[in-house]
Amino acid sequence: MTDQLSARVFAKLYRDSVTLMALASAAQRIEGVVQVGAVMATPANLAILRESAMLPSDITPAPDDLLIVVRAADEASAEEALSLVEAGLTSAESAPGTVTEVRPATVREGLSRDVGLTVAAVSTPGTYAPVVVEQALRSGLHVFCFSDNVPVEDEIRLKQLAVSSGRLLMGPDCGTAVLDGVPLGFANVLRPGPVAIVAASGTGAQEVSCLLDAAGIGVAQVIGVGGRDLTAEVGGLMTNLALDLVSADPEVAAVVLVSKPPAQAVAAQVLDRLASLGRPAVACLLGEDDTDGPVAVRGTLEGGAAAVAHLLGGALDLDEGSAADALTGLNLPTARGILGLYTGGTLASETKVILRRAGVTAQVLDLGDDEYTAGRPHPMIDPAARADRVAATGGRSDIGLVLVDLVLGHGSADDPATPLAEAATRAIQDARTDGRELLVIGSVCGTSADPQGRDGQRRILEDAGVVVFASNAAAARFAAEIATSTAEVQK
Amino acid sequence: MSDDVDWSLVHDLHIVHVGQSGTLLSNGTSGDPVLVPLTFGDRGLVPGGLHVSPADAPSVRAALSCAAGKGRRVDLAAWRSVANASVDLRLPAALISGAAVDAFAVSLRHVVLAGPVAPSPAMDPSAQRRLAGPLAAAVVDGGDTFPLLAELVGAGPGSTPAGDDVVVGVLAGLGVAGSAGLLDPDAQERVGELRIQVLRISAQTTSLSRHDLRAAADGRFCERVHRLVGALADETTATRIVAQAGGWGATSGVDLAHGVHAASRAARPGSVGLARVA
Repeated sequence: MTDQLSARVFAKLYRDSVTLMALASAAQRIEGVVQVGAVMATPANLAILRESAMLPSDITPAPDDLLIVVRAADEASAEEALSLVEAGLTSAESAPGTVTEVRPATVREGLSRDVGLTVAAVSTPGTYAPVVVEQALRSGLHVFCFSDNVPVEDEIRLKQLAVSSGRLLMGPDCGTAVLDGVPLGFANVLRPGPVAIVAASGTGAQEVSCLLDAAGIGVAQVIGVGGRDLTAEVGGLMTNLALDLVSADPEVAAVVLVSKPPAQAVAAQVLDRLASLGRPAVACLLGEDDTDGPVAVRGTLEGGAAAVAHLLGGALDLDEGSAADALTGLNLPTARGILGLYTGGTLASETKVILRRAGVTAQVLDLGDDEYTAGRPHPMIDPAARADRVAATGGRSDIGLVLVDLVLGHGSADDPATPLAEAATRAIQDARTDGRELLVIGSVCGTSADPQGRDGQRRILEDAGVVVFASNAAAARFAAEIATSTAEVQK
Repeated sequence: MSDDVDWSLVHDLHIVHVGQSGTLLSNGTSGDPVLVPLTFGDRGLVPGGLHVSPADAPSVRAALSCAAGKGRRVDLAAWRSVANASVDLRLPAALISGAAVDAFAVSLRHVVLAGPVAPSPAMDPSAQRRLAGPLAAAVVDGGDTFPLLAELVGAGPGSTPAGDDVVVGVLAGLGVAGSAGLLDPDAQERVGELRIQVLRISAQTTSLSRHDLRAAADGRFCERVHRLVGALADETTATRIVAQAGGWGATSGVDLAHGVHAASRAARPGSVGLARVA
């Protein structure tokens, strides 16, 4: 590595954490600066810095010392960053009481205390969200609005305001975005690359981007627009603006739109827009027939990801054989009833599409829906409620196949696989005690770089007897095959 | 004032740091000095410290700023006669409601999602927050807590590193769970062992954080932590209090909340519904 690593130690110096965070962020924006750390020099923090190759070998600070480290492309950039931080610290030192903790009560107040901010994330209760969103938009910020229960009239008004000022309003009820590599909401750690995803469905965007990631294809931007954007009322206001923005990005080589089926008039308009983008595009519209017109339309998430990969000369790595091999020697369940217990709404929808195409009737529940989450955390955050339902399937003689998903990434539970694996084990054992077989089939939506680690989470499920496929669609197809077969699996 | 202020030490203090919500005073510059935190506004009272009334805060802050600028020492002895209330910062017996814990979790997730993006891995508190659950579970279910403590204490961003705030939160949450009758005798014993381990390892962090850890091991917590554990009892206030915690420093409030929540979940309040104080 040819980077320059520089450090300064400030003996026995305390500064408010907000000040340190702001100074480090400001220093990191200097051209040539790769990374900045401003931490107390405790043994644990020195170890963290050492592990990330951010600890110079020639310093021996004490726990009460403040340590600033900068990795930069060259010595001048590192020096500029260190001087900026020191100036901020020194001004606080020379004028005690004049540097204060920053705790803005409003968007405008926050903006007045920093420069270079571009996005506001809003997660207030829905009643208050429109006011905050409007304030942010009028302050020139793009807005990621996680809040739900925002009236559609407010959504339309605010999106019209956003469009008029060229700002994105991602949401309301937007769960996923990755902007220039920065994750917002539920988002996976994706390799950078040439694909832009505009999505009106959160876990849909996650599944498509993770399938592409596994195929070695990276993502430039994931822009969520909120689940109502392609309805007749909202009319695709934000989808159109997002497509304008990604089509102007020279790093974007292909575009994919992910949504549940839009309103008919909106679909026609958006497909026309995709066809005129000036770069290859795929419309992944759940439940629609697969067609290859000016824009490839795919009715499943997996189909959409595969079409994008194909456009870029790649292919998805679905490896369906290995999971099927796991069934060797097992008896099929006598009962052919399928119960889908999903944490990702769009994944549940994709499963319904695939089972319907196969002529299989099943009960598929989106446990993240308001109907199931009243007073509880979303099951991607707290997997306990879904695990209880999985465990209970062992006592149902009508169910032979249980379909599940596991969504990883920022925002999701730290270890969602373990409670699901424990529940699956219990369900399978309970069924066997009752003289029945039960198959639990699923997939992991995540990447190897996610905080939870895709491969480890997958192993936990497999060790518990869950048959894990590389995509949700592959899992659903397999369940459909089993449900319609009559013989034992003989491979 | 906190009822554990040592008035014999307040005659000759130097100013470590003057901030908007608090000023840190110390009786020494080497070894293991005693800290006397003065706090203002909604920062609330902290163990071993004094909270200045809103009426007096501007003049006190200005005087301390002036004294700090000139390198003067501070004598708080005269304050003893005017301090109008002595507060026991031990956690009172409390309730834990499963619904409140769930509301706490949802609000905490929202606050995290809306939180600042760390400029570097060393300033990212995620790793410390992820250890809150394993630490609380190790205490409740029986496991080796010391390696987790060693990974947490002194680790992460802030003058009170994130890992220390997580530990304080776990101790507070376990304290409430114990008083609510959610911990069996073995688990209660392990909470005691954890407190001893915290004292033993507290030298590995900053003086300010060591002050907080020692107080927490003694069962005393700042008023902000009292608010967080109070939120475990009332789902109607949990969302608001956790949202407020998002503004306590860059990461401290959220780190404390992670610890409190992890402890309450480990004690499985959901399995027993609303637990009554023992």
